[in-house]
Amino acid sequence: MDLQEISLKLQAGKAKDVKILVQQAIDEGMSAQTILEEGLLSGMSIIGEKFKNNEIFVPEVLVAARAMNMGAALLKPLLVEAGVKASGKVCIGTVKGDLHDIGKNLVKMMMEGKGLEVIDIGTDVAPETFVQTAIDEGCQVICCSALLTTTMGVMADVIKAMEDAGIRDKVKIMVGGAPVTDAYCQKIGADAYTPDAASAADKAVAFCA
Amino acid sequence: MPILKITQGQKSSEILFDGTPVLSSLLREHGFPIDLPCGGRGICGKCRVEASGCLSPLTAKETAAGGRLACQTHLLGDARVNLISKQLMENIAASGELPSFLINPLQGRYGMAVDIGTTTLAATLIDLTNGQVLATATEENAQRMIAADVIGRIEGALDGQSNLLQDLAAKAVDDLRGRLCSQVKIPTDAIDQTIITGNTTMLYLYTGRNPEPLSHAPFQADFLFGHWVSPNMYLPQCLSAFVGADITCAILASQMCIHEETALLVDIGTNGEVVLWHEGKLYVCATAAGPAFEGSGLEHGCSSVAGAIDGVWVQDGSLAFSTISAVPAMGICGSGIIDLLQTLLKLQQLDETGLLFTERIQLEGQIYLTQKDVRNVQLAKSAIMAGILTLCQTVGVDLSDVAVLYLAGGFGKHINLQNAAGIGLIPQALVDRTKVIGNASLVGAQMLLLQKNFLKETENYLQNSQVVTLSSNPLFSENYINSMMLEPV
Repeated sequence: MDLQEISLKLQAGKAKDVKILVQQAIDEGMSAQTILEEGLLSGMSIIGEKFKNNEIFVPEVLVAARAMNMGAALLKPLLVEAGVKASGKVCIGTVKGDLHDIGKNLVKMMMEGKGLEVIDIGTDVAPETFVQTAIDEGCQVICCSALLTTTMGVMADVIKAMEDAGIRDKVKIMVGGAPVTDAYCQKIGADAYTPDAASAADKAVAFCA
Repeated sequence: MPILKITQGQKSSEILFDGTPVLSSLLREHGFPIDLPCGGRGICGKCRVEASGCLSPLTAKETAAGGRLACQTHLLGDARVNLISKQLMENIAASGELPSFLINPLQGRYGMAVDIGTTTLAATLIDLTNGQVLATATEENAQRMIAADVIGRIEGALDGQSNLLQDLAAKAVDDLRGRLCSQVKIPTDAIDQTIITGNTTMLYLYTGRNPEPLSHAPFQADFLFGHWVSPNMYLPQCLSAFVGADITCAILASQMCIHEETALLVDIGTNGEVVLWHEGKLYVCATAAGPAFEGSGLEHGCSSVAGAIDGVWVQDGSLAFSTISAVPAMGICGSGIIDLLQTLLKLQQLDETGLLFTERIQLEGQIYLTQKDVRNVQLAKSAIMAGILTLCQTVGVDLSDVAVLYLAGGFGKHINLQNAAGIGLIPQALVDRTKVIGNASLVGAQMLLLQKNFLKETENYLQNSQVVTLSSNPLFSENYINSMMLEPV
């Protein structure tokens, strides 16, 4: 079967069709990794590009990601069985004092769409929790999200906690969210700011390479 | 001295002026309401007027907006301007019928009820002796020039603009008071009692209270009102940092708590709130819907004013529409956008994922629908639907157990419920059991003026309610994404 078809259905957000086609591809004996990469991830990568270029908006990304997740759920046990490793591991959370998670979830989906393993630590996350998770899980990148100007200051505390734990030179830190800017990123000494979820995923992949 | 001739519906008047004033400023100084959602920066195009005579040349912004903007036009000499009649819009934004209840009013002759909405303020003047509504008025919330949403306003207040925000709210309430009183020709000090409702942030800003506790988790308001701020001004009970006095008033207006049966109340505004009344207890949640159904999130959106497209259908295979007051179309309001999307789905010009098959849908002249508009509606409607589903699932109520869905908001009575269910704004199962109750917040505030016992009753909602937090709730995230499609739920 043509995996391009899966990619197209995913881009159109047709979750049920994606699920059917992925199952079909599995039944035809294709490897889970091939289906993942040439079907799901290639489709999600096009969504990411279009999102970055403002050709599509948040709802399409969400429905496409939903389609991807439904397909990926079928592949997951097969990938584990085959011993396929993710291309990198990151942890992500919304900083302490902030409960907003739609942006964070979007970044998470985009990163998964790039084949990364993402540990979601949730919202209202204390600096020490970011650091501990990165150490325990062996993450290469910590990603911090904030929607409020009143809470983004916590990002500087996360960097401080990384220094205190002695992992600042081993783990990268990325920051994002509505009030965050590149200037702010530089001011607090984070490794990268990205203005949208797709760029964040690209950056994380680069850091994990 | 040059003269500006103003026509407004069938009325006309004249203003003498000096210098070269900006049209919007001159009109406002003389008591003509001009809405400036973007704060007079020439961006939103909402203050478009028909003007002629000695005017400044069209600016680039006006050319882009397709006509004269009151905020950009300078008067250079004698001129004429035609305004859309304000009276027509006021009835809609301030609409909603009082349910029947025993009157036992607060003391005095005249009472004023005000709802400070994030986007629009609405007010009514009531005869306390018989419950009659004597006058209504509405006004755009001028705080929008600082930020469109609640979070932006809180940040503005923390950033040193607290006094300005308070002044803007106070001035808007003063303006409304003045306009109500002039409609019935009484002095403004004749008002004996005032009830001011609104979401928790709006009441914080109006009373000059520091909104710092509302700015970060755990979002614990340090004051929830239910409180006389002066001997004749009462601010109703709020239930949490995100569920405000406006919802308290809407619950009262729905009278859901006087029945035993399970009921839902959905208030669709810039913030969508959902209330579930189940086995003698209230469960409430707030969801950030954004102003798409109030017209602000759309390229050619508008509130429910005269000229707003409020209904769309298919006639002879193509789109047909109606406007409020049957005047030429000037934008699309909440009920219009619901109909439009459902109609486009039927005509297969739009699919359930929200993809438009043409770049834009032309309605009339300058008015069209864009792909981005559809996306904004999807975000808004799925926030509301996900709020409904999450609240019911959390409490363990099946939609089939819900006896009534009360639908509140600035839609007016024109909303087509079948279409609202068709695009997945309200559950299909509840269409036949939905009651549209208009601006329920304002109606509830009027009820507080007319029945003293309601003050205590609404204050008691606080002990009897449980707030369900949606942000960072995984169930909500899942429902939010699953509700993104334009299809019935």
